[in-house]
Amino acid sequence: MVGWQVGLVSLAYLGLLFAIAYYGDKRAESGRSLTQNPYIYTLSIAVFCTSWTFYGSVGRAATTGLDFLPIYIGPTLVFVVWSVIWVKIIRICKVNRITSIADFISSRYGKSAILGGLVTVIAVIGITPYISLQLKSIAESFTIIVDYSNPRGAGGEGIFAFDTTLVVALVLAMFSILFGTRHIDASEHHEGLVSAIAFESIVKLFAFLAVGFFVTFGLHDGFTDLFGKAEAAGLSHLFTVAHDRGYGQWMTMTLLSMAAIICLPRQFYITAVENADEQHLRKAVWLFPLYLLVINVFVLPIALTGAMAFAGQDANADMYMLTVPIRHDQGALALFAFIGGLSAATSMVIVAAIALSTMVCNNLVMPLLLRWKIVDAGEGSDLSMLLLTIRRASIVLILILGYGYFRFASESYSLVTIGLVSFAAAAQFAPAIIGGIFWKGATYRGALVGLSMGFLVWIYTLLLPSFAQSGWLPISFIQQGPWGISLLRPYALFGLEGFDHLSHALFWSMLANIGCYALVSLRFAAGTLERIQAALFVDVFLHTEGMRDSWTQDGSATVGDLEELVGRFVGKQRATSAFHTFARDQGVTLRRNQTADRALLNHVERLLAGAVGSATARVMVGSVVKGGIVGLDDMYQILDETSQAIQYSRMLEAKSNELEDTTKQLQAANERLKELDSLKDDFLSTISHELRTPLTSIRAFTEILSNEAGVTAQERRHFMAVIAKESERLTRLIDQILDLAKMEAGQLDWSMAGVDLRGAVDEALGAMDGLVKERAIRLEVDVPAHLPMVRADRDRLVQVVINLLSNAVKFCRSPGGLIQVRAAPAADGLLVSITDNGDGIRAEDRDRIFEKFHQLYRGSAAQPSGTGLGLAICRQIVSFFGGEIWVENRDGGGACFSFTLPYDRVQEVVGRVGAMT
Amino acid sequence: MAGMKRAGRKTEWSVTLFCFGLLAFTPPIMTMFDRPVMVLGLPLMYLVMFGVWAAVILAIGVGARRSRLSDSADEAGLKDGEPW
Repeated sequence: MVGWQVGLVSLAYLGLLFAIAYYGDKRAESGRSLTQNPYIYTLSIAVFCTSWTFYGSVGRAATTGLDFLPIYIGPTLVFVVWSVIWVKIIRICKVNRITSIADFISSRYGKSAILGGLVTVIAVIGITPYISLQLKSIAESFTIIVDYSNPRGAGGEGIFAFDTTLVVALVLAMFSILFGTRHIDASEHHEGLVSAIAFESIVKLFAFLAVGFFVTFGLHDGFTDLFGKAEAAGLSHLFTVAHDRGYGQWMTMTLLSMAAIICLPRQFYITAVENADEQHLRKAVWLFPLYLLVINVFVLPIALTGAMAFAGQDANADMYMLTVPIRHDQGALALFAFIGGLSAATSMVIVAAIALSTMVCNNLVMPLLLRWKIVDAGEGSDLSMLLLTIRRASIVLILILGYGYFRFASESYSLVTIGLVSFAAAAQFAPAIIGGIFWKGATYRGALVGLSMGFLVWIYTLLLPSFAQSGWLPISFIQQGPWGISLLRPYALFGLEGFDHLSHALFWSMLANIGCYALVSLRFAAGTLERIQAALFVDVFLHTEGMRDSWTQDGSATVGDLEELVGRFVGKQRATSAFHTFARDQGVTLRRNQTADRALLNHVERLLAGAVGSATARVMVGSVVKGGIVGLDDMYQILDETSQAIQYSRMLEAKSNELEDTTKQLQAANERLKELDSLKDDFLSTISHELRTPLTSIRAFTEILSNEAGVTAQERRHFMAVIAKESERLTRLIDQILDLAKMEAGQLDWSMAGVDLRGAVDEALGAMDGLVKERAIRLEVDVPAHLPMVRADRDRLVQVVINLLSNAVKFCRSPGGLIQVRAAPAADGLLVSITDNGDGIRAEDRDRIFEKFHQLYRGSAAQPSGTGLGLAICRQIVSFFGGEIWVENRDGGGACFSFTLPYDRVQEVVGRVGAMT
Repeated sequence: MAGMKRAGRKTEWSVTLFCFGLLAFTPPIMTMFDRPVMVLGLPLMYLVMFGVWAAVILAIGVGARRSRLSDSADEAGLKDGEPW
């Protein structure tokens, strides 16, 4: 086999992978998901086994024995407490639509964009050596398999004359782009990707087992034979973990791998984010450790076989997986092993690249673009293309970074050492994550300072020394410390010696990380948003149902706005269908111009969080909801209480306004009452005066008549006349009072009939004739003879006219008085007016003169001579007839009293009928 | 209430198993077996490590089984901060 053939097989394998991914996506779209079962989920978690496992474990076992095991025992121990850790993390991810580890940490600590960015930077820098490890293994294994096939050497022909690793990196970048960034997914999982990764896990397991069976049962006669030969060959020191070396590194590696199974971005992504159903964990929690156990059973046998086969030769122990079969002329097996190694490496690179690119896009680039206003979430353009482009570019960039590290730094290290450097970086996330889900008091500042310090120490004690060993920095940096300060030697910081580099680095970085995390968290109080998020994460099982973070501003974004926003990130159709699903689930109808409620806003935020991460999603929804981003449930509650208080106070205000109005009305009524009261008093005094005056004169004249003998007959007649007149006046007064009282009580008997106005006016004029003549008043009467009949009580009508005439007589000029009486037909009745030429009535008095007991001091009359009831009676009567009465002032003085009287309907009809016949 | 109690026990059970694993896979205990000795034709440490490992996996599997009792305890378990 030559280089191009191996290359072709590799490409064919990758092609198959892509076909599986494509098929997986198609199946998912048609609703028959491949990944909805615990076995695929388990196999996808097995992405943990990379080429480090495939090649590196064997290499380590061949040099130091069983101490490759903690990398797999650590994860097993974490899965023991799955119900405490994994279920919680997965639930939190589902509830909050977490897309990555950066999203998780940023979301936990108050949706902080800065923290998300920091985690992303740490992850990218930390995982780069890991990716370069995979590239290195692919390149090395390729060289070996081609070298075996082609004795002339690997570099001889075709495209492989170029840099194999670079080609591999670019091909993997392409595949990652094809797998992971075909479209922006707001809600579903990358089913195709998961299917492909699961397939890769099967391939690498079987490849490893195939080589294992070959060496154990093909080359040897089973395990006992193999181990017996190894013991005989003097390799029994490989049967132990720490032959004469102490257990420091064993402990360190156990702790690191425990942290790594949670904190490696790709493990977090596959286990928590891609989890389709929490129930799948039940099987995965023991199947995944079982996978680890099975793939490791043959590590020691293969390592021992390699060590025996290549004893005394300068063979790379990392490549025993290939070189052992090749040495025994098993070309096909070697190729299968190569494909197994390729699958192990590609699965890691693809998942890591996708997980990291999601973080770079959502937690680093988009927040910056939004902050710098390069991208505006509020305007119309479609952003899903932008997101995809950012992700694709970051995938390429990440792989080029990995390639760069491989090119310049990794040559001097074994696979396992490189991997552990990455593990140590990822482990820096552990305090923030584990603390974040169990300790509510952990704060944003604590996490930020802890992560930063841990990361800086990691750089100083692991990354920089690796650069120094690669020649980028002077080697004296390691040996004498920077500027010759021996206390700062990166492998013996502050004089801490006697540990391996990894344990040393882990100790210092974790001390800095956890120390700062705890102290800063305790020292500085958390903000509201942080406290809310802390509660949401720590009490996720309490919060899973019911309480959720909320937007305060209900009314400022419409459903259409939100749909458009989501559409720009996940595509129009997906957005529409997501909204439909939401509406159906909630049992509501959504109209585009309807204002979005809190539930919808939260839903939209989560939809967006799936595409761009929770921190960014919040900013975007915030940019659409013009009112600002406060939100989150207890914040909401606070505001809710405030708004309730405001509403309550508004109600109070309204009530108090109402009260004020009522008070004013009451005051007015009171004023009025007082006025009426004083009117009544006035009236009473008037009436008593009125009663007293005639009574006094009656009594006086009666006494004179009875006592005085010397009264002439003429005088007696005069006195008697006065007594009669005064009695009459008394009677009139009392009659009027009785009349009015009866009218007001509705007890008066009315005899309504058609009345001829002219007759009534004539009668009244006749009654007033004496008085008019006595005062020498000129009377002008203009009442046409054949006016239509009005409906009235004749006597009462006469009374009205008499009252008005007597008023006019009373107040008209003297001498030279003039009274005009007019009547004319109007639209719905007769208009009658009686005008005098007195002083008129002041405007403010015009309404009140019709009230009873109201007397006017008009003109020269010092003392009103009426009863104060005349006009009140008139108004009662006219109102009863269905007419109106009012008063106006005439130009040039004088008052004009007018009233209307409705026509007599019966008469009218009769008249018409008469006219027709 | 019985359901909640059971859910709580399950957590205790898994934490206990974790402590056992930690104990078995860390120095004081493991050093007792960590010597180049063959037992039944296999290295002692190889046998012990994989044996204990397998036992732990078995225990996880048993613990993760869904029992009818704990199913009905789902709701109560949730309230107790314990999903199953």
